[in-house]
Amino acid sequence: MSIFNNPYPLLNNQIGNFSNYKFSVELSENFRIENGIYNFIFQMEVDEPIINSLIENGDASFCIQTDSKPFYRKLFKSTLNKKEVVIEINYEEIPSEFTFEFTPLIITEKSIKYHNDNADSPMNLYNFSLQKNQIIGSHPSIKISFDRGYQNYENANLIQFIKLPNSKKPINGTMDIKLDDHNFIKIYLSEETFLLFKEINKQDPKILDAVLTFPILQYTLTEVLINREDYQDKGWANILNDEFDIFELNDTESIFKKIDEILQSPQINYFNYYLKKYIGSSSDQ
Amino acid sequence: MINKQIIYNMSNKEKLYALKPSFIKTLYEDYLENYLNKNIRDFLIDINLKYGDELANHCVPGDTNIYLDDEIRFKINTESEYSDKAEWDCKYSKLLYSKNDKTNGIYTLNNTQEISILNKIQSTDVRVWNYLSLFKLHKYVIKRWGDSDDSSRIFIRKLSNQSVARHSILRLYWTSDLTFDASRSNSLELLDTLWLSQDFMTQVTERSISNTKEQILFFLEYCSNKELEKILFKTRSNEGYPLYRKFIKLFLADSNLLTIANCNKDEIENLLDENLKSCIA
Repeated sequence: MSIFNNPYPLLNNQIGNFSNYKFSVELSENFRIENGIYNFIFQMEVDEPIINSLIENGDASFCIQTDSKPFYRKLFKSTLNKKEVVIEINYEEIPSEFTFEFTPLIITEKSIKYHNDNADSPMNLYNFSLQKNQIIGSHPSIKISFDRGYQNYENANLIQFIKLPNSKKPINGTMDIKLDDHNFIKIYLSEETFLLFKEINKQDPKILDAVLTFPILQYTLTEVLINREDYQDKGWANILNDEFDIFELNDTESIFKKIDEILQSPQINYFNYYLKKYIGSSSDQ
Repeated sequence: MINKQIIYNMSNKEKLYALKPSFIKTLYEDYLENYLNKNIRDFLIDINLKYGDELANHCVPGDTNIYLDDEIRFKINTESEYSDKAEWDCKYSKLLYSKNDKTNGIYTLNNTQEISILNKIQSTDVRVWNYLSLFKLHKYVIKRWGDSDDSSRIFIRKLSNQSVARHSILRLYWTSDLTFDASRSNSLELLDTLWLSQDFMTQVTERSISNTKEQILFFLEYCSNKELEKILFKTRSNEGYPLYRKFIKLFLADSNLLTIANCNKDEIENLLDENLKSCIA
């Protein structure tokens, strides 16, 4: 049963309507700047036969929507190799933070009648009229930053873990979260917990991302939602706001959505990672 | 070109510098510590008194190759206020943008010393734009934003559509850059539409739809129709907002399903026709 409210079947490993099929994209590792030109190569794999045949027939194509803040968006399409997009961008076209956000897409090349038996029920029962440029497949964005020649502000992790003195324990159970510091969200832990987290972080940092960062952010953003004025001048809050507009949160539901955006669906990513690493398979749904 | 060169030769250019990032940080911390409950005016007056005469010490050595026409700077800093703020912003946006037909505004010089528009790196170099808002154009910023206590009007710290649209000087430059269309006899014709109201400008530019320049020009051209202008700007949606907000939201929603960046003018117009019907239904 499809649980994602798309108006027609969307192939997306996280919010799509194909439980048994995947859209995988990889950025070639040798991206570079050469002679003032940024070079990137993306390769994709789709295992869903109907979308694959649309691509083969030229009714749909693989492309990369490329954004750079502020005010830059360009669509790069596959050419001869229908499963590869080659991107070349002049250095001077990109704003001075030299940050790219690549969103892999599969789009229609013309108006088509679309029916896909492989979609989750009940999407597989219907016929859809799609227009040209409609997105039938999407993949989470891939972010790349190049170093710039200067630094505006000191960069540091926003969450700082602090070990309490030997005899002290957190007042609120496992950890105390303090938001009154200007630069950091500070997490106070007992020595024992601190050492445990440190060890886990050494073994597999993704675990902390999945199980710890989420509740910390949930607490933090709830506080920001309730007492916005108290945090509008905090450095850590402004860094989060500049990137993710946290001061525009208006209800608890939007907090969950925002955390998903910030941490890029940490649980799903971790479960996939876990299956792949420890079981030898992966599933995105 | 010859005419432009003559105008340029007759006017003085002021070289623009880049503030040291450490100095911007010091100023920002000073603002947070001492001016939070005050307004921008007090802060700008104080830092110009304190650092104005020795500003060179706080600038990065070297040449940014960015210039501001001195007459334009004088005009912007000294001209009296306008009652309509959107009209004021629109007028100064035209003044600051170098490709405008009559003025040079902010510009760079190419290898043959001809006036050129800034490239994207220059037009987003926050060190230079902080230099302008905090020092070189601070008198204008005081007139326009002096009563505000919003630090994003004077400091640009991280690049985003929103931070650019809020910064006192960058918003002027970038609204011209977004609407500049060399194919039109009046190359900044659509700037007037974008600045029909301050709210409309921010609603359009703060959203990701403004990342695709070609399509945003189609959108603004569509909105510039006089009959449509009345509907969008003079009527309100069910939620009580001006109707254009709903119109923009629908366009944004389209971008979740369609690759707007790949749509031609006809396709955008068809889309907007459909959205308009939904808005006024």
